[in-house]
Amino acid sequence: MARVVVLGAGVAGHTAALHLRRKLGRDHDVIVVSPNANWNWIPSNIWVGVGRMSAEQVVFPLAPIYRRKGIEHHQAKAIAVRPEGDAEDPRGAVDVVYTDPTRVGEEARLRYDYLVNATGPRLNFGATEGLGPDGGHSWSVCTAGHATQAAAALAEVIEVLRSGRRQTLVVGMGHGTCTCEGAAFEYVFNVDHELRAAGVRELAEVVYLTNEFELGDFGVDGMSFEQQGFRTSSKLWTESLFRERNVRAILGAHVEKVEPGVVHYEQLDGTRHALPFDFAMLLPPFRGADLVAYDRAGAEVTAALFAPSGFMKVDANYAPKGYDDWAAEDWPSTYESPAYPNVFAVGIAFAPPHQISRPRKSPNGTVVAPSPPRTGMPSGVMGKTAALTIVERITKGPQAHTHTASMANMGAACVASAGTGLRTGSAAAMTMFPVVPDYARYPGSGRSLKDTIGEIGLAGHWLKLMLHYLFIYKAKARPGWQFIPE
Amino acid sequence: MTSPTPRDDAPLIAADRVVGAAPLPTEKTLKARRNLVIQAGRFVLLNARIMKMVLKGHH
Repeated sequence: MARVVVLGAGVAGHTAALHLRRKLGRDHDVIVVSPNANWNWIPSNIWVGVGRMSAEQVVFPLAPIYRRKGIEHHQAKAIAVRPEGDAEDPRGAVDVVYTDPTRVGEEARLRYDYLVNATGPRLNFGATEGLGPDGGHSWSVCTAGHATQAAAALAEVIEVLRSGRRQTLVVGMGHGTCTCEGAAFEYVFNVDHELRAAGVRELAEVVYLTNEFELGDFGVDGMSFEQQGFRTSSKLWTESLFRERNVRAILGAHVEKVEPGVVHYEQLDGTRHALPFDFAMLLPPFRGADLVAYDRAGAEVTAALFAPSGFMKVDANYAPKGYDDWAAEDWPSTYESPAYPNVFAVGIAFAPPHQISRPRKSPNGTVVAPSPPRTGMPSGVMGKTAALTIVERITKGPQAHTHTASMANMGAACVASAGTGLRTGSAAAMTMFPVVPDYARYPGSGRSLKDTIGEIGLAGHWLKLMLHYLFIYKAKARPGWQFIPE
Repeated sequence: MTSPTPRDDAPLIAADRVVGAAPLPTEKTLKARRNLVIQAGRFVLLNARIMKMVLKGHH
C-alpha cells in the first residue's frame, strides 16, 4: 500500500489528486492537504471583480468531492517537509497546521511514499508597501473574496461617475516581478466594458500599469502571429485593442509604494513618478509557499529542495546563465526533485529556471522582469504528468516509465476576456505553441506560427464561458471528467 | 477621492504615442467581431485549434 500526499488543491494539485485516485486502487491512499475549504476557478475571478458573477459561482467546497472520490482531505497548511522522515519513521513526512475550523491550530505529521507539491503561490502583497486589500490601499482579484471586494469598490466609483465627477481607475501589476499580466489585461478591459455599459466611460480615465516592456508581452516575451498574409506581433495586436478602447498604458513599471489614492512607481529609465487614482486593482508578485525542509536528524536542508524564491527545484537546469544563453531543454519535463525522486513540484510551485520574458533593470538596479506564467492549462498538464509517473512507479516499480511534459513542448490557450455578455462580450483568444519559445526548433519567433494565433471577438467570450462551466464540471469530478483535457 | 499629489503624465504620454500608432479596427472589423454567424464559425475553429494543440503537445 502506498500513500501519496498532494499539497494544494488548485488546478495542478486537484488535477493530480483526481488522476491519482482514478488510476490507483483503493488499497492506496491519496491525501490532499489544502488550507482552503473551497476550490476556486480563478480565471473567472475577473467577472466576480466587476460584479458579473458571484463568488459562489466560481468556488465550490472540496470536502464532498473528496468524500465521494475516496480522497483523504486535510484542511491544513503545510509548513515543513521531511523527505527523509524522522527518528521514528524513515518515510517522508509533511508537517501541517490545521485551518479546518474544528481543528484550527492543531499540528500533525503526515507520512508519504510520494509527495506532490502543488502549493501554488503565496500572494506576496508585502513586497510592495501599501499593496493589497488587507491593510493596503489597492484591490485584488486573486481570490474570490478579493474580487468581491473589488467589485463593491468599482460599483462605488461608477456611482461617483454617474454624479458627473471624473475618476481615474488604475489596473495592473503591483511590482516589477509580477506574473499573470493576462489577468490584469482581462480586468482592465472588463472594467472598461462595465463603464461603457453604465454609460460613464467618457468621464473615466482607465490606465493599465504594467511591468511589461511593451504591450502584448504577457510574461512570455510576446508572440508572433501570421494574419492575412502578414507576420504580425502580439504587441501590435494588443496596442490596437488599447487604442480602440481608449485604455492608456504605463509600461516597464515597478510599483514602489501605494498610498491612499496614489501609486508611486519607477520606470525602466530610472525615473520615478506618481499617479493619483480613485480605484486601483494591482496584482501582487508571487512567492513559493516557503516550506522548510529537514533531514532525518532534524537539520534544515531547505536549500536542497527549494530555490530562494520559495519555489521547489525540479529537473530543470538552474545553472546561472545569461538570458540569451538559455535553451528550451533547460526547462523541466518530469517535475521530479533532483534531491528526492519521490517528490514532485507542479504548477506555480516549481522553480522556473529563467524568465521567458527578457528581464530588464533600471539604472537604479531595480529589476523589472515579468515572471514566467505557469498557471491554467500548463498547471493541469503538469499535475496529471506527475500523477501518471507516480502511478507507474507504484504499480510497476521505481524503474517504470517517467511521464514528461515540458513547457517547451507544450501548448497553451489563453482566453483573455475583454467584456461579458452573450451578445456583447468579447475576448482575446490566444493559443501558443510552445509556451517556452524554442528558437532552435522555430527560428525567429521561437514558436510554431501555425499553432500560435490570436483573435478578438465574441467567439472568444463564448469560449471563456464554456471553459468556465467545463472546468468546474471537471473539477467536481462529474461523470466523464477525465475526458476533458487539462 | 483623488489625493492632492500632482499628476505626472510623462509615462502616459510616451505610451500614448506608441499606442496611437497601432492600427485601428474599421467599423467592418468591429461588426465582424460581433456578428453571430461569423463568430459561431470562429468559435468552432478556435475549439478545433485548441484540441489540436492539446493532442499535439501534452506528452
